[in-house]
Amino acid sequence: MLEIFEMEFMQRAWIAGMIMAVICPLIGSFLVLRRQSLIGDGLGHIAFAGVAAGALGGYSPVISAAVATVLGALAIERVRSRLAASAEMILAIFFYCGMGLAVVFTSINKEGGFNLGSILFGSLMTVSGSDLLIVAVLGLCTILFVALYYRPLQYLTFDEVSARVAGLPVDKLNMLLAVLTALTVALSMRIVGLLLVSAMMVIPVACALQTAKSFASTILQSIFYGLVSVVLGLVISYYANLAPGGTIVLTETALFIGSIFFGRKKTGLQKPQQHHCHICEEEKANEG
Amino acid sequence: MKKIFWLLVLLALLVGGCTDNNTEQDKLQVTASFYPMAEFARAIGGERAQVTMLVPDGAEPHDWEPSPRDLTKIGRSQLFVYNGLVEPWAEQALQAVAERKVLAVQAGRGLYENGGKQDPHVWISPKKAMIEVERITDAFCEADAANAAYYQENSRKYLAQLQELDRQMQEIAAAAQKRVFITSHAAFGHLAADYGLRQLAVSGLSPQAEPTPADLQRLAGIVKREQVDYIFFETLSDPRIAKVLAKETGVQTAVLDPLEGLSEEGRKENLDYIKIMQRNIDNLKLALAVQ
Repeated sequence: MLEIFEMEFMQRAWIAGMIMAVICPLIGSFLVLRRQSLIGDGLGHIAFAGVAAGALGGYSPVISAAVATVLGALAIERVRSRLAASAEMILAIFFYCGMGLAVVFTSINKEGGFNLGSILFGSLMTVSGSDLLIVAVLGLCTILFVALYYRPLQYLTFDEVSARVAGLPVDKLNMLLAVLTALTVALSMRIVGLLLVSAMMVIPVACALQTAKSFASTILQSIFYGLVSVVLGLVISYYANLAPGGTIVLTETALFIGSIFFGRKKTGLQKPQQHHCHICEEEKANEG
Repeated sequence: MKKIFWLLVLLALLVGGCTDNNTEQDKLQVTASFYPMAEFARAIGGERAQVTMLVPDGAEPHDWEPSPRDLTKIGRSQLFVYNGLVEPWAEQALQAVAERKVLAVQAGRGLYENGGKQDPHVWISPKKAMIEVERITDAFCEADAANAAYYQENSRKYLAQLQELDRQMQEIAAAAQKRVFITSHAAFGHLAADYGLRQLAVSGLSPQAEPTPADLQRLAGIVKREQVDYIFFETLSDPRIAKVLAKETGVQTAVLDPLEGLSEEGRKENLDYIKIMQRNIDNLKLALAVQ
């Protein structure tokens, strides 16, 4: 067998990485088109606070990070829907609050109990069998959620106001999306780490936006880019002895640069983005 | 489609180009954490074991972290030798390859206690090094029972060399006119404690611990009071502080190697644990004014 698949810990890392490569862009497609690209990053900071608090209280980092991010995501979502005009500012405050809490908890904690490097930058050797199970269940839930609510989610993504007018359960869907985003962030920290989680949600989608012609194909292509970058990233990092999280993200970035040129040559340049911008302007007009 | 094709070709090249085939497969495969552990394992395993050292020479074993590839090496081996405490990553690494049933031997277990502190540098004392070698030998015999007699014979030869070092240290303990030696980092506590000497370190147990100006002041006082003639610095970490202190107080410097890894020079001159310990002991004799 190939060395890279030989050990069980690498097999677990591969499976977890592949699942993440599917669900991160899947969720990310909605986030990016709703101009919430940075929400994963913010939740990553909040997850860090959760990990630090968990280490203080003696809880497993994945569980405490999941709890913290879900609470954080629900709060951010609530604020976003009430105070849409200053959503960005509120989001920033959540980031800093999360980081502040993390630093304070870490300073209270004199005994350590968690490896800061592996939390922030990911560590393949820490993916345990139970982590894998949780990741698989989350993956299944996410795919089911998107499959079942694809139409309403699409409507919501492009025009929240008319979706609400049309009688869709907008708040409920927003909450579910926020919770899934939070869980995805908390669980993918094992692979790429909290600081780079958000890249897996954003960059494959950014690539797909250059090459895809419809919303559905944006989702599918972003998953394809996600898978390619995780496979390449893991292989390169393994044989070149580089940090896996960083290598995956840099591979994604390289794909993005490639996709700009590739996308330009084809027709239908950045169609989804144009559409998106048009909606944004409409939204702004509505807000005003 | 073309793009996907080229990506796949690239991937195949990467994977294909990097797989290595194991030629030494019939030997007992051993991984050892860092230099003294690898040295002991090589001495015991002789020709019948393939010992892979994980922490490269020149790297600080305290800070090193295994890459996935290193973990694969551990998972492939039948025996993993480590000292304990120096390798905070060892436990997690063993957990990552738990399915592989690698026999792990923590050679220093239970030996760390020194003056109320947990001091990992046990290999530096010949007395404790002998215990470590015996434990590693037992693990070799357990992992490869067919060659047990061979390993025990090698082990006996190596232990004889350690006994010689031990004898010389006891000589120092008996004849030294001075009891105190100053080192740059506190790696020689066990050596001091086992032979009735006192180590004073410029910095703490970790080589990165920086001494404060107050520490230096205090040490300068001790240098004067105890009439220390030599200050030791070591090969891997920054000798600047020891040198500054030596200059301030007008004493000489000498090398005391904590044997956490071979230096470039050590590799070139084909030095090993026994030879470097012999140098350490000679330098100690000088510093402690052994007649």
